[in-house]
Amino acid sequence: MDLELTPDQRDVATAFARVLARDSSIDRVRAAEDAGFDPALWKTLTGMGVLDIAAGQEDASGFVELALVAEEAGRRLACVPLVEAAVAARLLAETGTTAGDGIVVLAPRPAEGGVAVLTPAGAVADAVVALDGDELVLAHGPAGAPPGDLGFLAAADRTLRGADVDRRVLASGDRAHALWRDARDRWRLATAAACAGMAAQALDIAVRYATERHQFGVPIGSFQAIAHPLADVAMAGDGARLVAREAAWRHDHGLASWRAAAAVAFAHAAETAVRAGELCLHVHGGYGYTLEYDAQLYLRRAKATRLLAGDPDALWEEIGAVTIGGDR
Amino acid sequence: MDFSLDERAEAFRAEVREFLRAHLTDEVRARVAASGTYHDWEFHRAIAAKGWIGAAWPVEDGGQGRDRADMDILYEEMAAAGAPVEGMSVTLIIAETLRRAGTPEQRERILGPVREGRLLLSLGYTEPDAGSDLASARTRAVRDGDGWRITGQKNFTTHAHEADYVFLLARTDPQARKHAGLTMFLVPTSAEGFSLAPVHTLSGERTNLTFYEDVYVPDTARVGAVGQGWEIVSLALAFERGGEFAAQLRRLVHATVTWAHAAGREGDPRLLRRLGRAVTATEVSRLLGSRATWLRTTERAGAVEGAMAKVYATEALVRWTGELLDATGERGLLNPGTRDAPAGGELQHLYREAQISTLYGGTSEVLRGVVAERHLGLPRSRRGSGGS
Repeated sequence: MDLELTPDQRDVATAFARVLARDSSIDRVRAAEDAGFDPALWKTLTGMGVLDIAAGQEDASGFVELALVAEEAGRRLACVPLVEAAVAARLLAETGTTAGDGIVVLAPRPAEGGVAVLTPAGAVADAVVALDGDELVLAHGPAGAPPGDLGFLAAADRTLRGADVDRRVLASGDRAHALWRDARDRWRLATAAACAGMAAQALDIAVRYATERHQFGVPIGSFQAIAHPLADVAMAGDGARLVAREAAWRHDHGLASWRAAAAVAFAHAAETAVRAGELCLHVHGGYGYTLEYDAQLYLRRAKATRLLAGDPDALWEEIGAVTIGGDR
Repeated sequence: MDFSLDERAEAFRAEVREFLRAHLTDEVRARVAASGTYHDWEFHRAIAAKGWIGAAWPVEDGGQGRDRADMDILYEEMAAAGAPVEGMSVTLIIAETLRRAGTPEQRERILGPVREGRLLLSLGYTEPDAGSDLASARTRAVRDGDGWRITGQKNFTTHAHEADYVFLLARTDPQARKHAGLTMFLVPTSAEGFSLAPVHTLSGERTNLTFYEDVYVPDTARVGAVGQGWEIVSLALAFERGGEFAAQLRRLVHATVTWAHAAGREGDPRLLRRLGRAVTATEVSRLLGSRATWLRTTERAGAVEGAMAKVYATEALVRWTGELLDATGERGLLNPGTRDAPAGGELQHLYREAQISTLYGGTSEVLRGVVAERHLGLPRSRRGSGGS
């Protein structure tokens, strides 16, 4: 085992970290909050080739690097559908589909009655890749009206059928399900990395505040009642980064265990991001509850990201079932 | 970044598993269950015969020059199988310390027999009034000619009834600053004035109170310089293990799956949710443990990461042994060894045993403090007036 990044991996991580720190500053996030999308940031990231990182057809690789970028994007609450678009790009490449220019995102849950419900960036994407019954479809159509979402993710319903939708069937039957499962599991592992980034940054913010804020004549971080929960989140947070990176590594090395690892990674990292966001808010006391402080942004993004995959209990159940041998 | 398992290390893991199949017999398990002593001489000597006691020591010290990661694998597999290696692991913590801080005479006298599986050592740190606050130890050692006279009492001197020596922390200078007045000794359990009383615990494991009434030891019993006891304790703490807790979780998952199949509960959603969480905690614990092991092989020490791995895994162990015992319903109350106990009582046994894991080798509270200060850089917490 060697947890050190290779020089190439470090270059990718550093380059995107620098750009995201600059172009997804907290001011930029707040400016994009209502729309849930930052077009200028999207242009910058796609210009840097973010969608090519994991789109390779000739080998499986790229998800370790994508996970590293997703970590940084999560850390900066980037208002762009980075993972959804990268995973969709990979799927399109695998099926030899040309989707044209524009934003194409994966709907991380199967469609319900021909509608990809609350698809991240559904309010801005030009097209959606979704599992609709037994068909895997690419649907170009009008962007859905954003109902407003907790995580400023531009989530919106996307209709996959109808007169104003250009619906292309990429695969059907078993192949559709298999391709979709690949895409969903890739979404899980890369989103897990984003959650690990969110958790790390929420923790950093909380630690900084606990060090500076004085009450009863001492920094509040010197109270064990504050310090110990932060230590717990530090452990869970490091664990989140490790499970996400390992799942990506297994994927890129073609190990069959990558799917189970991706489920575990998402379940743990999403839970940890929520916990970190809630703790970050709590450590700030009443200030954390105000919109002026950033803790609420982390809490909202984390909770919403976790909910994108549906009820978390369903995932724990799935992991339990896979462990016991009743693969679903 | 490379998460692959080292082939050579995995070959060693396979060898350990093979060893366990041959030597961890029902007779050994029965002896351990009956005595409550997590040490078995026959099993211990079989490990020694493989050269695995002190296998990570350099060849000139009689070891096999193996990676420290190999020792982690050894403990992991032993823990996953429920093998009685507490005696060995404590002995190795002390032997490792002697290898670095002992005199040539001490190394000569102790290390060989330890390696050969003939000599067992026991830890004498804590006292009735000195638990996590180890440096407040009051057991006294007073100069007497060329030697020392030791008087006091130690708690949780586990397997002292099988051990040849107690690694004993004593106060040699009551006037000095708390941490500066301590000295370490190797006290033979055969010495006049030494006695012990058994203490029985929740998991069935036996530990001891040990008493020292004017015990005379020569100066060759002293480890390190006079007044250097705390440095020796700190050195020894670095050799506490950690990786085996993830293996304990693995054991829990395995026992649960076995039970679920036997009880026809494979589809029970309440069980599956708990199991899913336990599996996830197991994976996170495994990786936190692997990271600490990996860091120890680099120039970084990995001590804080080891603490993180230990707290995470042991807290998970307490939580998920409890939750998965709950999942077995009322039958979970049947004691290990009784008829109809789920998984032969393994789940209840693991639940009982888990309770000590968050306490020994540094309580979760002490270690969270270490993580808060040394990993997060939070201000030092306010402590009682006894702190250094």
